[in-house]
Amino acid sequence: MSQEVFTPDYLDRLRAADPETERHFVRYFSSLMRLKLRGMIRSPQVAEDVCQETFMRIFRILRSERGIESPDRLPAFVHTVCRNVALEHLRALGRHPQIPENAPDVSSGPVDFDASLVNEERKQVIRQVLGELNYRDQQILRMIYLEEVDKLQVCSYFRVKPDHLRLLLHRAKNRFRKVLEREGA
Amino acid sequence: MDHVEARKSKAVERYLLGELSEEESEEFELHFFDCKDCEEELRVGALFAENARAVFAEGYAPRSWWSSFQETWAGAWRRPALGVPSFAALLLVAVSVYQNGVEIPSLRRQAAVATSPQLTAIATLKGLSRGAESDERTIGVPKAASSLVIQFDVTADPLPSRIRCDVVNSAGSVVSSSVVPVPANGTVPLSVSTRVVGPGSWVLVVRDATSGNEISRYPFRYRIS
Repeated sequence: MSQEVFTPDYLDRLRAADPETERHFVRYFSSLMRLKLRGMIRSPQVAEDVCQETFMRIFRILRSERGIESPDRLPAFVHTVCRNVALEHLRALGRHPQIPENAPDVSSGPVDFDASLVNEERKQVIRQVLGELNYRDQQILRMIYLEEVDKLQVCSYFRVKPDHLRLLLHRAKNRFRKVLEREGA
Repeated sequence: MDHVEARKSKAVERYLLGELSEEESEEFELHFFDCKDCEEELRVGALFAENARAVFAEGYAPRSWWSSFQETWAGAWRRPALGVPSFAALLLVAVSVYQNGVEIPSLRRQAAVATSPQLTAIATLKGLSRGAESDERTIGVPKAASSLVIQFDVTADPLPSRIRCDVVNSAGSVVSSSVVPVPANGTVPLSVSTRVVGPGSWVLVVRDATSGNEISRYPFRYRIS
């Protein structure tokens, strides 16, 4: 796929700071980086900072003497830079915690990089999808997403195999997508 | 990791559930940074997770299908616009289920019985002469017999053209009654269903169908042989 999008010409335009190409680049990799970071960083603000810092470094490297030569290596390159920046931020946060001790527990709230991820139409679809599941599977999802119980404990409690969780998630996700597409939510 | 491998190993679901090792996560991330399909799957998965978390956090409680059903229909009965058609639909479903599950199979069984050869018991009865106390005859009927054919002679002179035959139980109640023509020889073969008569004492009362006058009585005891 990268060969179709990231051509030598695309790379040249990025180096030349072409605004349209830069916009495409940022839009393309922002969502990918957010998907990667949601498993690493809980704070939306920190995640946003990591994204900004990653793009700044990439543009700097691209326009320097040591810039990358092969355009199809761009996705892997962005991933590596993003990971390094995220680890640096996490280390810095570990040294200088930014969240005061009496602040609300962020782990109990939704992990939300982008507030637009959650909206009323999508929640309505979720209620519909959950309503179509049996009682046990609704409880499993509640334990995983709200109570964040360890998956092995969930499996042990409900006497199901880990494959059941994957299958449950796979089906629920697909149903969610279908209803979303049908209702244009 | 290529796309086939990612799909085969259910990498999307395992990544979303945090089941991949650090090394596997890295491999999969490198893959989905370059794979639109996996990125899309992850994006939908993330949307699902965030919205599901929000719904549960708002107090959504898992419900059994029965409680969902009750919740859906509890209020419906109070609204005529929905309640009346719903009740009519439920009634239609109930009637349809009864007809398909009970009535039609029963009719089919009856039709099959009516069109196939059946075991029958036959007995000849003598009428009580006037003033006689009792002349009850015991009839042995096989358990599987579907009917009992009672033959008797009509002793009236002249023979009536039609007679009414009442089967009376020991309590004096008529359980079966029919009007039949009388053959020229005066011997009538009367078929009675074993669903109507069973073990016990019975009396067949024969009357002139026109005048209603009693002609004769034929007492018998029914016994399973």
